[in-house]
Amino acid sequence: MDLRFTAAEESFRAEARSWLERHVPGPPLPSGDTREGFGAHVAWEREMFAAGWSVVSWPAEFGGRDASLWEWLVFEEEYYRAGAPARVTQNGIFLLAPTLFEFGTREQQERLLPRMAGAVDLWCQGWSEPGAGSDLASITSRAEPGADGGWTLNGQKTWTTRGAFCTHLFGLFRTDPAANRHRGLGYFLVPLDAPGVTVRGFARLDGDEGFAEVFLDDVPVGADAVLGAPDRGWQVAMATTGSERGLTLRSPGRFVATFERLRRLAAQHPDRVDDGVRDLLVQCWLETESYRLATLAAVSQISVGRPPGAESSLTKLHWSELDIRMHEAAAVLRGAEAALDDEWSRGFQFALAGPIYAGTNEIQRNIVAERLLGLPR
Amino acid sequence: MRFAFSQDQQDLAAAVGQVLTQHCPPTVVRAAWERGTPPRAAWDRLAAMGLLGALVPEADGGLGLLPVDVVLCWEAAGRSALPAPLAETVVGVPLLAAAGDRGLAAAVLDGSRILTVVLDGSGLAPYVPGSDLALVGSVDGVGLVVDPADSAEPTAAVDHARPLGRLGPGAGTPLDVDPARLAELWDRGVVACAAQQLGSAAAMLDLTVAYVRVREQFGVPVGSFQAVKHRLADAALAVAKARPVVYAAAWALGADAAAAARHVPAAKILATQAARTVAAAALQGHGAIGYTTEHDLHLWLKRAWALAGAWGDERTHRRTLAGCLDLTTSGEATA
Repeated sequence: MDLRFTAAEESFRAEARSWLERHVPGPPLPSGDTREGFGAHVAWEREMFAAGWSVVSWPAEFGGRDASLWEWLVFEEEYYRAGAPARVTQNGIFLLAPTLFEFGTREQQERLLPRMAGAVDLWCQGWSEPGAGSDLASITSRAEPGADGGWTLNGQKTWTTRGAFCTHLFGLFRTDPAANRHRGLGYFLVPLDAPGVTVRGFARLDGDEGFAEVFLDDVPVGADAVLGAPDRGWQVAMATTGSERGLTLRSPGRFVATFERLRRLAAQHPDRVDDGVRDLLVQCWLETESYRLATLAAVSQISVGRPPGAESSLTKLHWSELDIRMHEAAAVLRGAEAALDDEWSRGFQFALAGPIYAGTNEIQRNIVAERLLGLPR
Repeated sequence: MRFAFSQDQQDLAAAVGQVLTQHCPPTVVRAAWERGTPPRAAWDRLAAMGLLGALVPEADGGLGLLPVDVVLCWEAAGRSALPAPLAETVVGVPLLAAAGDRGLAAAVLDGSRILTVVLDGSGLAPYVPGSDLALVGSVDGVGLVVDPADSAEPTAAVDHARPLGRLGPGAGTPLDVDPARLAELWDRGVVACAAQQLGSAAAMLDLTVAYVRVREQFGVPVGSFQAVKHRLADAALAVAKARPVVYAAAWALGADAAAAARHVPAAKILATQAARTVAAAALQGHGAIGYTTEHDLHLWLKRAWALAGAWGDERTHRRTLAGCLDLTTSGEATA
């Protein structure tokens, strides 16, 4: 056991830190969940791609640096430490890309991955529908096969993050009308400028147009729009849920950086740090450090071919509740100023989404109880 | 970077686990509850394995290991609710050997004399009566008491399997020890206790899961109710939060002093929170049957409650941690 990074990993860290120091935009960019801000974030993504930093863990042939999972973890730490912009490509690179690597044809990978890394194609996730949130298998959007091997898509997706600004959508559609639930689903890659697609953005809690409804009316897509077998969409979508994807969604760097901001906030108001506030801050540090160490343990297991299974549900519960606790601590420290619309209050509002997305915390608790503890369904 | 145990470390823990499964099943814990004395068969087997001298240099008859090598063993002891001062003996005997009384140290290593330790300044020594030797004091100074039951004021402990004898703060023959060694003993004891709490929490969770899977009401197992599932999921989460920190603290002791300064108090706080969360969920999950001394659960509950305040309570460790993190209150000087 050795909880220190190697000299090579520390040197990688130094390289990342140096590049980020020189390139992270001065005043923070406007929110990536607004039209103007999205454009600025895309420009940032292209700058990262040009320097080889946008997808460090990908093979070099697709725009990455073949970085190990450890190096990726280090890069994420440095990225958040530098206060770098939010990744508007994250739904593509963290959710779609692992699926493409595992199930995509060579042609799909070569066509889609470099454009994704280079923020030429901007991907949003089309999972939820008005009638299908936690119960994803109850989706009704459908795909009808065409004579030429292509498909016609009909239906509606909602809660699509940054859907109004993206160029492409990946989503689940029912390919077999006779099948129900998780059977007979296909995983589709859809250009949002295809005929029949209508996108309507709407505001999330903080007022930014961060959500969209996507209406599909007889949308034609080609045979190459399907990822994996057309009736195995559920399995394709779920395959990476418990492994790398569970990890890559929320690296500790984000929460370590939030704690450091919280610590600086406390240092700015020493008169407000009484015993209760101190204990709250210590608890935040404890849970952040625990999360960081738990991630190192998880990566150690992945590195020897043992990806986490249902344990990733514990991970999700941990970071999502920690994020809220840290922002609540900040609100306690700020007192009346917590009512101002700024980074902390926006961060608080965004933290509230944590227990809802990536599988609600109620679902995650069910998974922990049933799959980890073995309690009856 | 590798945050995982080696095969050797896992093998040692497995061997200890086997000894405890065989010689410290719940019936043995219950017998200790009734008699108030440590189980000799289990203790002698652990001595024969060399575990008691795990942290003693090989030149002095020990295994010459580090805390990271034995943390899983302490966890196993916690899981079995071993009613004996394993943590105390293992972390205390190296000091005894270094302080010069090799004969006494050897007797501890071979299991013939049981050593306990109380260094939190309270003088409330665990397993007294039951121990032959006691190191008593604080990180500022320690004394050795021989046959502590003779001079200790008896008390009534909630955990009858872990009797408490009250020794005065200046009790025993003062030992001339290097303050760094005393600090090392303290840190190791804190981690050993935290590891036992981790094991204890895991055992209570397993007991409760097993129970709610079979206990039926309204025609179904009570474990199928979402309220029960979610309570136990939260218990599992609390254990999952404590585990990596306990292991990291064990590694840091002997590898990274700066990390140890934070991880040692962190381990005790999180392990205590986990044990408390699981104990409450376990009692509630068992319902009325857990609220008896006939059922085994109370043996684990009472040990969990006792260990929460042993080797420094949450408040003490939180203060230490706040100092390390430069999070001092408005009433204190900045670190």
